[in-house]
Amino acid sequence: MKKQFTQKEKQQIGVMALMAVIGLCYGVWTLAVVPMRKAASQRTKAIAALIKKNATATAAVAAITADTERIAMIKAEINQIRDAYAIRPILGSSYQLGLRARLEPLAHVTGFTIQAILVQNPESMPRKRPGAPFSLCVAEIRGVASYLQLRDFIAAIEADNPYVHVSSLTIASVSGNVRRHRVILRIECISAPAGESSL
Amino acid sequence: MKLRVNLIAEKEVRDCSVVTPRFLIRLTGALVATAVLAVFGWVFIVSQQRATALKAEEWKWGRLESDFKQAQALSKRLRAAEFIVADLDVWRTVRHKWSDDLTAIAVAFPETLQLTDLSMTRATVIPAVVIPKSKPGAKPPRSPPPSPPEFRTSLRLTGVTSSPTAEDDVAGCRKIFTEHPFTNTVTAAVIPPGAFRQNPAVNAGPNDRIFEIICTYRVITL
Repeated sequence: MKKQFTQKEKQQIGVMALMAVIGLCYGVWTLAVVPMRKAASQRTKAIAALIKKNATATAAVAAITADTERIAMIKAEINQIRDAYAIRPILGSSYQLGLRARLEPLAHVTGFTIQAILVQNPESMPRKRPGAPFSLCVAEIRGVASYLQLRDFIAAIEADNPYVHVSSLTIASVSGNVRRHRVILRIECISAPAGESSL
Repeated sequence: MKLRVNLIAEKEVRDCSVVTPRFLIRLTGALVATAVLAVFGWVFIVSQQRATALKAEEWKWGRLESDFKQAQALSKRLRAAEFIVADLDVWRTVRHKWSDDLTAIAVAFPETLQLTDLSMTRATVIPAVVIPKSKPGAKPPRSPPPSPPEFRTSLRLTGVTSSPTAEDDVAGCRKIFTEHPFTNTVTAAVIPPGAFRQNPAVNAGPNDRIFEIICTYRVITL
């Protein structure tokens, strides 16, 4: 025989059932939905970051060919500058001989008499960057010449090499000879070690 | 008068309508259960979709990673190479052609003046970096990057003259440096106080004077 509940019992059962349902919903929400939503949110962020990273990587990988070509072009340009304009050491380590070999023909053509060339040890150039393929070579040239010969000599140096700077110049008259002056010329030019450097 | 007799006890009364309280309770329960399941299912599906998408992106990254590292190394090499070329370009561009200045001086120099000494010096100066003061207790500010070097050039001309118009001639000589081709390079040309004076040499005559002109060139930043 089916048990008949009183009105009060029915109400109690209803309240208990409602509480059970609420508890169930809360449990499902807390133990399953919230962690899953949190995980999904974290995954969304991770996906967004990875998509961005992959896009950057794809673009970078796509640029490999262009970058390789550009490096080859720059290397060729640098090699051309080095071969044409950089002072190279002769006989192992003498930049002085290398500079003299470049300057003497110019001095001969312009009538400038070189008495001495003193080359300081090159420094990395122009910013102090270790491993740079060029260095800065500072040289002091002492000689004798007339004003116009000196001007022509400097013009010849500047025309011969666009990377040479005249950083100091002193012209002093020679007593008893108004046509000849004592000249101290300081130049700064790019130099490169003998070996091939890698970029 | 009609008499209506109800012999059913109150607890035995059944509601004969279709929408009974029991039905409503069941319907509500079913709806709540469906809603809970729907939310749970939706969240589960979304979570699984994200997991799949994440795996796909991770797989993509796994394939790209080694190539990307290679590309980064290449890009670094390219930047270094471009810096070198830029440095060389700057070095070539900032050069001052002294042969042009010497030609201009030779052409414009008054015949009444004799140049005895010419001295040009170029100093490479690295300007000091100003570090901003930090408030007490605050994190010290990052020091700014070093300033690029500057070329500061000056030219000193010394000479003698015995011309009666020496004063005008020396002033005219100074004026050379305010005209072409010095307009864009020389910022100041001055005869220092006391630089135009009697020649102190023993054998100098009363008209023999010495003079000095100092030119300051525009500062060039590398």
